[in-house]
Amino acid sequence: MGRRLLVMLGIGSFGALVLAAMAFATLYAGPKTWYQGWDQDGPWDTAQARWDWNGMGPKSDDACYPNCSSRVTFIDTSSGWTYSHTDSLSWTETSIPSGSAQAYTKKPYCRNNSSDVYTAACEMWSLSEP
Amino acid sequence: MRHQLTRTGAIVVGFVAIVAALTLPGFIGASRNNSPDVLSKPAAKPDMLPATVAAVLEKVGFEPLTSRAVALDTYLVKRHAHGESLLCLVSTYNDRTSSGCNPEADFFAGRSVVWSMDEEGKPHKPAALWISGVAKPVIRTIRVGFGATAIEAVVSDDGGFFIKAPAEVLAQGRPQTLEGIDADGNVIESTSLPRD
Repeated sequence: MGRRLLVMLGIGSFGALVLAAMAFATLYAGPKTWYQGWDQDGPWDTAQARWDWNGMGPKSDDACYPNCSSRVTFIDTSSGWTYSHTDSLSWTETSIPSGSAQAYTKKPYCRNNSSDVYTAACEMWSLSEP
Repeated sequence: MRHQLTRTGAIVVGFVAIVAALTLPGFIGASRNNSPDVLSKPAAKPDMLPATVAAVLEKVGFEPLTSRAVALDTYLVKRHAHGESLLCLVSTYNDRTSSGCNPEADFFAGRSVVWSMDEEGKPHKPAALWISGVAKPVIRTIRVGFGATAIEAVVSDDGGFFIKAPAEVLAQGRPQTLEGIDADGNVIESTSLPRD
């Protein structure tokens, strides 16, 4: 019984280590249709889970492709916009440098800033361990 | 009868061969044209991404060893993510990393210029702004219009370009247009840049 418990604890600890080392993505909008100017922000991050990657895509390959531009950025608690990125590729993504630059509270934001309509999703990633 | 079938078969085979001969080179050419030429060059030391950037990109499916530098802090990097083989334009200027990705087999997606724009601050009044990208060989100059002012950059031998808006130009407003210009001064492609 004691040996089985030790094995289970070992497996559990290994699993926790693997999960801690893995990057994970969370959808915060879509997949859905985005009309001109439609935007969406995600949840605020915490000291335990810092968002450091923000992306929008894949944009639908019909009507406006390849001219479907998007903006992704991070918004801080003072409503400041940081690490803003715009392009008209299928995936549009920005990130925050690892290290001390991440240590502020922020939320991801994405926007269809083109003059066309397309489908896409927005996702945020936590790439670093707390 | 047998003779007739053979003759019909020969006509069909001949027709298929002619169609293939006419369309295949164009198809191959189009495929090649849809990926930047720099990818076929052997990698050199300047093509390497900064180690900290490579470590981050690797976590989201990029293949840092495939990177090719095309302009100042501007790279092309292959990536496998979301179930797709992608080719990405990566900007590492100012110690930040952003990227835009298209399917690797159709990177240019019918265009001559692929661009990306990075900013600090809100869209109506950015504190800093730079544009980077990659163009097909026919494009020799990139011109970005800021109202009455335009900034031009020569496309590098590897097809890349990088333009940082000087503060006095940015004070006039956001960039409005991006043009790809050939060696004779003809505008090959013109794009309206997003306003917000």
